[in-house]
Order: sequence, then C-alpha cells, then structure tokens
Amino acid sequence: MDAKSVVKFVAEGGNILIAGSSELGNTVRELSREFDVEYDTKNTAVFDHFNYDQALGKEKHDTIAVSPASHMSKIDAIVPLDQLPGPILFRGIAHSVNPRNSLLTPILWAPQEAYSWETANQEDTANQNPSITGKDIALVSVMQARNNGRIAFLGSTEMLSDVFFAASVKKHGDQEAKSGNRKFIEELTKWTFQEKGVLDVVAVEHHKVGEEEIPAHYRIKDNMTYTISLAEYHDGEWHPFAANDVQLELIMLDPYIRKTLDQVPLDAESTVGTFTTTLQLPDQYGVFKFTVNYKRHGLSYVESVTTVGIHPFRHDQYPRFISQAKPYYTSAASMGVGLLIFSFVYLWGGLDSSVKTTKKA
Amino acid sequence: MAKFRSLLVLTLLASISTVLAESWKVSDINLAVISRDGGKKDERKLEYPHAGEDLIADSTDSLKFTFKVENKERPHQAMVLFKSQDEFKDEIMVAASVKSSGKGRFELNFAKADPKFKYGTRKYSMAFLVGGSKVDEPFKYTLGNIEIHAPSSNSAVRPSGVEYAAKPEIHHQFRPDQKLINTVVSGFFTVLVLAPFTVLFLLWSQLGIKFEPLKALTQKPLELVSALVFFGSLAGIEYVFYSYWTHVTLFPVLQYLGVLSLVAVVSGRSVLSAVQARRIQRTSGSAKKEL
Repeated sequence: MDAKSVVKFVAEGGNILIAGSSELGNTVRELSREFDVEYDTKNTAVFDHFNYDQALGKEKHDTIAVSPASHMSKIDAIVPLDQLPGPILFRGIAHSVNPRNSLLTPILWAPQEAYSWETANQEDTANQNPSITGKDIALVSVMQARNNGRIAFLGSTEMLSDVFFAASVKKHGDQEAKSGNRKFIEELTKWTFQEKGVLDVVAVEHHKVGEEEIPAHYRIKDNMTYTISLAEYHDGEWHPFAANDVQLELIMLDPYIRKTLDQVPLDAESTVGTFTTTLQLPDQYGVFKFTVNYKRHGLSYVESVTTVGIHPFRHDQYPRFISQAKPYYTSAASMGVGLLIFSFVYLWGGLDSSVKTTKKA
Repeated sequence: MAKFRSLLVLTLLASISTVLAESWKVSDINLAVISRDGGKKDERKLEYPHAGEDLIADSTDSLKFTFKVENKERPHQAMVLFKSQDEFKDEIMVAASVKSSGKGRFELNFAKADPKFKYGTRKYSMAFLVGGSKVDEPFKYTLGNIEIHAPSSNSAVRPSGVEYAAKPEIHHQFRPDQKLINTVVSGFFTVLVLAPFTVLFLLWSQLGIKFEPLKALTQKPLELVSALVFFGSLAGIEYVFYSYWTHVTLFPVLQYLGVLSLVAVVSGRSVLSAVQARRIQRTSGSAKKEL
C-alpha cells in the first residue's frame, strides 16, 4: 500500500481515519503530506509539564489533558462540546496543518505550555526552539475533500485505547474528572465515516410569483420565488435540516444578487428543511445560475446550480400610452382626421359660384 | 534506639528533600534589550513573582534573558512563551540553554526569530516556563510585556485560507426609470398641435364653402353609393392604422389594407371623375359668362 493508492481511494469518495504515534512511519507521513498535514519528525512527542495527567503521564509528562472548552474547535457538527464529560487525554506525536488549506480544520490542539520534543534523553534541557509549540500543535484535525470524502488525523493511537477511555483525569491543580475520550472518539468516528453531518439537496423549485410551474424562462424584473429543500443525516436516518445562513446567489460571471433564504418553520410532520425567498430579478438579461453554495465546517458541502434564462422586454412589452408622448399621438391622429375632413371638403364642398360671379360682375 | 532515631532523622531529611524537589526554584532573572551595535538599551532585574515594567524593542534588537536554576535537577523545559496581545493570540516559545551549573540564558534576535514576530508592531506577554519530568510541579513566572516593532521592510504576512461562512448580501442596483418631462408641458404642446385646425376652420368659414354637390348627391343614388363606399374605405384605412398602433400585428394589417385600398381605388375612380366633371362644367360656365 502506498500513499497514492490511498489518495485515489479518497478521490473516489472514501473516508479514512489516520492515527499515529511517535514511531510514525514514512508511508503515513507521505500520505498526510498529500493532505497538507505534516507530522513532526520520528521519535518526537508532545510534552507538557503544566497539563500532564498525574496518573498516566507521571513518568515523562507526555500524557496531556486537554480542556475541550478552550482547546477544541467549536464545531458542534463534529464533536459537540456539551456532550463531553471531561478533558481529553492525549499521548503521541504533534502535527501541524497548513493554515491556507480551508478544507482542513484542527479539532483539538495543545495547551500553550506544550511543546514537541524528542522522546529520548529526558535528562538534558531542550536547548533549541521546538519545531512546534502551543496551539500550533494540532493533536486531532479533520479534512473534508471537495467530493465530501472525510479524513481524520490523530497524533495518538492511545487516545483510542480502553485505558484512556476508562481513565479519570487528574491535572495538576485541578479536580479529578472523567476522561472525555470515549465520547470524543465516538463522535469523531461517526463524523469521519459519514454517519452525521451529511447534507443532501432534496428538491429545488422556482416559479414566478402567482404561478406554480417552473417557467421556460423569466423576463427581467420579474418577481419570482426560489425554494430549496435540504435534509441532514444523523442517527441512522434523514432529518430536516435547520439553519439561518443558507444563501442564494444569482450568478452570471459575477453574483448579481445574494440573499439569505428564510427557513419555513419546522413542525412535527416536516421531513426536510425548506428554505425559500422571493426576489425581483435584475434588469440584466442573460443566462443566469441560481446557486446555493453552502459550505460550513463539519457539514458536507452543498452546491446546487440551476440554470435559467432571463429575457429582456419584447418590443410590445414596453408601456404603450405615455402621457408625455401625447403631442406625438395627437399630431399623428390629426393627420388622419385632417385627411378625412380635407377630402370630404374637396370632394363635396365648393365655393358658392353665384357669390363669386356677382363680385366679378 | 539511637540507631533507630538517626534512621528516623534520615528518612525525615530525605522526605524533606523530596518535598523541596517538588517545585522549581529560579533566581537571578534578568531581561535586557540589546541594540544591533551591542549597546544595552534597557534592562529589568526581576524578582519572582513580580512582573517587570513593559519593554520596547525595535525589529533589529535582541532580547537577552538570563537566570539560574537552583535545583539539582536540570529542567527539560526552560522556555519563554511570548503571546501576542491582539485578537490572534499567537504563541511563540523560545528555549534557553541551561548549563550543568544551573545557569541558563538565551539571546533572541528578532530579525532572525520566528516570522510571527514580524506580523506587525504588537505587544507580547512573556511567561517563563520551567518544567521537567523529575519535578512534579512546574514553574511559571509572568515576566511582563514587551512591544516589538514591525520591521520596516520584509514584514511577514499571516497565512490564511478561505473562511466558510455566510457572505454579505448583494442587493441589485436597478437602473433608475427614464426621467420624463412634466405633463403640463406635454399638454401644452398637445393643444399647440391641434391649433392649426382652428386656423383652418376659421379661414374656411371666411371662404363661405357650400356643400351643394352633397345635396345634389341625394338625387343620384349610384353616385351616393360610390361616395359612401369611398369615404368609408378612407375612414376604414385610418381605423386600421389606429388598430395597428394599439393591438393588431403587421400581417393582418397588410391584409386589411390590401382589401380596403382596392375598394378605395375602384370607388375613388367614380367619385373623382364626378368631381372632374363638375369642375369642367363650372369652368366652361364661368368662361361663358366672361365672354
């Protein structure tokens, strides 16, 4: 197995969970690098003399207790903070993530006093700046590729062990607490293997205001209604999705309109979350795309594109009787009426010949 | 008994020494800002746990830090944590080297240090961290703050990716409606356009036009019919023009015009020849009178 075949697996939509340790081998390093994750060099570990667990980390101060309230990302779609009973124990290798990569998110990072150093030779002082320290040390991070394939990177295999699941955490100067590892790993694996945080577009509808059918095309400045239905998968079935930040964009090269959709209130019978808005189309004709591009951390990406044509007014759709144009209408009409009067007078009128002759005589 | 007592004392002493070893002791802590030419710009002699006053350093300066660890054991971590006092809270850790005598130091040249020092002029809090696996309790000492100026050139740029969040709404700016003149003005011109009719009727009334031929028509039913048909076709053509303006499209209009104009030509011939006949009659009559 090499890194390339695993990358191909992800490109085909596969999901992976990678857990390393201080003895991490080259294949996994190479693979992680493909996803912008860089594990620290071999035989290094995360040390923290301030936040070590007094039972598991007594020897080397290498088992650290991380408080989820301050050192875990606030993405409830992946691991909800309020469900964790206590700090998370970690013993293993540090990794760093490329901050330019938006698909990659650290989920758990080290306390500020932590540093990554060689596991051997604890006697001497670490007399060079550690390669990564503090919150730059990612302990767990996740990536969701553009095809919604999910990968989780862990620096510790022991995080997943029964010992860590069952341990109670006692940090220096803190109360003893139950370890949050079991719930954390449970939620993380659920997310990684597409058992939660999965969104799907159920339906897209659009029509003119006052109509029901999808028209062949719209005309500029038409009022129209757009509706999209989204469902979210978790706990083994599809549920209606609720959010207040789903946005519709009208794009022709550039976005002309971007509007936040209103959610139709959910009730007990709702099976999908319905988001809708009514808007006036721009006074620009062309082929537009109605796009809902909903990308949020922890949720699978939604990209719904509907292509519609917007036509200009036809020649006979402009306003017809403008009061300001009355002089033109009147002059045209007076031409017509004048012709009738003139021809009537020409054909059947005549000067009184008797009057004329008497004058001459 | 004496032997037992000395053993007790020894164990007591030993336990005291382990109690002592449970925390780190650091003394002789000094901070100094050194300029590029080696001159000392500022310095602080610090006494745990009091923080020193704020320091200011230029981007080309160095920060010199010295201390002495009093414990027998050597710490694994003897580092100063710089934390930026802005919304990013960047963390930078700088390690000191500690000799076997316990003396430790570092000299940090900001020009060559971590690029995070070059993100701009920022204030950093400094905390001295001493820790090691031999001693359970770590030592943390907040040294104070230091303001480090951004380099005048080659300042670093914070890497950042695309933030997935709701974007600002875009409202389309519709082109404003065409500006139209006041209806009073157009009303005035409407009246002006109709004014020639009054002039026409005024002048005609002075001419004294009599509709004798029209009265004569009543006696000639054949001419009356053709006159009615001709005038009707003319009016009809005008009506077709009107309906073309309002609602009828081009091709039906062409059909109507085709039929009506044919009628107008045929009926017009007889009507106009009647007019011609009248004129000839009149000119010959008046010529007779002149003669």
